[in-house]
Amino acid sequence: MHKQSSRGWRQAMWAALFLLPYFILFISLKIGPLVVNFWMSLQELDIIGKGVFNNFGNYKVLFQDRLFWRSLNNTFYYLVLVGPVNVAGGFLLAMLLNQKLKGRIITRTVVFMPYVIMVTVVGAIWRWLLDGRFGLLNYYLQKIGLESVPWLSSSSTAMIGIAMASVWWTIGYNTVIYLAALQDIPKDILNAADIDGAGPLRKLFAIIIPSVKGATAFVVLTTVIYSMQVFGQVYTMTSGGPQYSTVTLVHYLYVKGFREFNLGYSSTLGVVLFFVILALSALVYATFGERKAKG
Amino acid sequence: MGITILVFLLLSAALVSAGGGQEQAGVATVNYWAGFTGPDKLGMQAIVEDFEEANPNVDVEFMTAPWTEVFTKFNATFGSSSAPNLMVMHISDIPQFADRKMLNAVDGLLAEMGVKEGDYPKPVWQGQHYGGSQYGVPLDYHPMAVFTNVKMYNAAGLDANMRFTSKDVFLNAMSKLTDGEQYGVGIGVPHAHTMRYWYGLLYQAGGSFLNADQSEAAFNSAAGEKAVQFLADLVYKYKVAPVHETDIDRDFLAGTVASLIEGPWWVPGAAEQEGLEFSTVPFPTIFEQKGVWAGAHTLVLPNQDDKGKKDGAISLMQYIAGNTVAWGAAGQIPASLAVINSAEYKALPTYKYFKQFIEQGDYVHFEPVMKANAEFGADNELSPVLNAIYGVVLGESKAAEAMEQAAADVNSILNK
Repeated sequence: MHKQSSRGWRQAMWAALFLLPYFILFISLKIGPLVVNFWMSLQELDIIGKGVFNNFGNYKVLFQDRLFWRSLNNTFYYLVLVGPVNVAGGFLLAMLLNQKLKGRIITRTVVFMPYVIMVTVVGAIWRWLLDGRFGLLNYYLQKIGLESVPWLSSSSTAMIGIAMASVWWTIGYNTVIYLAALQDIPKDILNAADIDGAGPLRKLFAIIIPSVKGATAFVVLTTVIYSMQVFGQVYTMTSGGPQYSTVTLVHYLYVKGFREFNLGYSSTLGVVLFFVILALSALVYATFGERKAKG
Repeated sequence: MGITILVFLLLSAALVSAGGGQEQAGVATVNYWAGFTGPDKLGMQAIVEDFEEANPNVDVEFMTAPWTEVFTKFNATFGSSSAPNLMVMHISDIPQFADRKMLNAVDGLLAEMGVKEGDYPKPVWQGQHYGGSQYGVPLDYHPMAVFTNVKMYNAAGLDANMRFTSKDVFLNAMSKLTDGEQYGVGIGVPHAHTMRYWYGLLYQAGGSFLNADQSEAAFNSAAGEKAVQFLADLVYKYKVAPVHETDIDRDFLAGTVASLIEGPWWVPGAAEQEGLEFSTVPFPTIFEQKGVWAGAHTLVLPNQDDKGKKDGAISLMQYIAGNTVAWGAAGQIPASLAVINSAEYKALPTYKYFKQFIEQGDYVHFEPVMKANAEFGADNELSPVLNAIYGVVLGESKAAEAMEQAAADVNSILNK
């Protein structure tokens, strides 16, 4: 008995030792900065010098800040533009690439390749593609008899332009996730459905989509998180313009923190973003989480 | 055995790297930072190398990066041994760093350096001052001027060196230069220069950006409205500028606009463009008075404790301020009147382009030298003034409403 207890302790100690590096990094790089960020948000804090606690003054200013609400609105708009396309589009692309078609290996590579490009390069490429006067997209629009669109220089279309660049850049990641999930579906289930006379649509809704639910939950969650954090594309393509139509929450946070050096207010924006993403993540989890059987 | 060798190698590497960080005895290492990333970077590098040759007891570590990165690093390293000992910044940047007590006033050093008020244009000299002290030694100033495509002007029957002395003269020329997909001038959206054009026009129309004690916006006036409306009219009423133009430099180089309003830093690059024949003329006088936006670079001395490095930094500061002919060749207008009037400067091959910038020296208008300018100045992409101007030039806002909203936003910033 004594020997078993001693062995149990030893095993627990080794487990703790092996987990320790992860927890040190997790606490120092994730939890610690989160706590410090919240602490900073309670202060009037410049980049130099000591902060002064201002009784949630930053939060009071924030809720009356026109540009904060605009940036939050823009960020949600971006999520609405990119989210469904990236999720549904990633799934459909994966379905296509899962077929035994000629050239599927090279096509998979081509679909995923944009994902490895740096965001600054993505921004530079798409600024050219979407140029209102000489861009390639407008060239082809005119070829088919449509009018040119001032993509990045009009308040009504600038965010759509950024969304297009983002989808091109990131849809490959979701496609790869879905492809792996599709390939995990047991072939005999699909064969049995064929034997039972199920058509393609029936198989899609009754077997395939439920089978990749886990992947869908992951893809939706990561798409929501990354979309709410959008910054690089905005910074390189439009700098938040024209007329604030593309300024996002992270871009606003960046300008406040690193242009105006107002660390207190920048931290406040960071706290708000954290809670917004947390709420959305909870919603995704609630939607896709396993429901425990009652009784 | 293997572990012993590994430990020995690691210890050796640590000793070598520690030893490599030590400065040579009797030689002060001065960290000199600036936001120059184009041909001006090479020009300043050459000046630094000449200084080091003449001063073997000072070693200069010259670091350049985009301006926002330079200032972020300055804030992050201030007070440490990695901090800069000498810096270049814009005069509009002085207030935020002076307020943070990060800069040394230089009033007491000027006599020793031979720097005198009379040697600089008045607006340039005044811009070095903040809160009753002088923080900068003038390095250069850079107003806007018009780059004209000689071939396109000649083809339209115009002289590429013509002076735009009135609104009618300017519009007449731009109309002649506009034909089909070719336009007379470029107005970029989004482009910070558009606010700089507006700024010059505001003062030409008798307006001002802030009131006399800088406590309130003053540009929401007839002058401010007139200035922004004129820019919008170039696009929609007179149709001499392209709609929704995003890249004015590219369009000038491609020959789709005949005139480009840019700063002197653009000259060296343009002079190297094969097939481009260009000239420069002063910023157009559209309204009642002459006026043009300008920025200015200045040499500043960060607060520091190391006397050896500080003395080295002051020597470097004095050298650069007194030897700016090479700086002029790199694309900025030296602030010193003695330099710009010297035979050596006038002998530069690019002087013929720079002299049109220089002749505007007495009527340049700088952005307010105050901390709040970091929030509403043209360099901040979220500036309420900049975005208001974009709205009007894009045809999405009315001039009066846009100026009123921008003024309200500026007043909120000033009243924080």
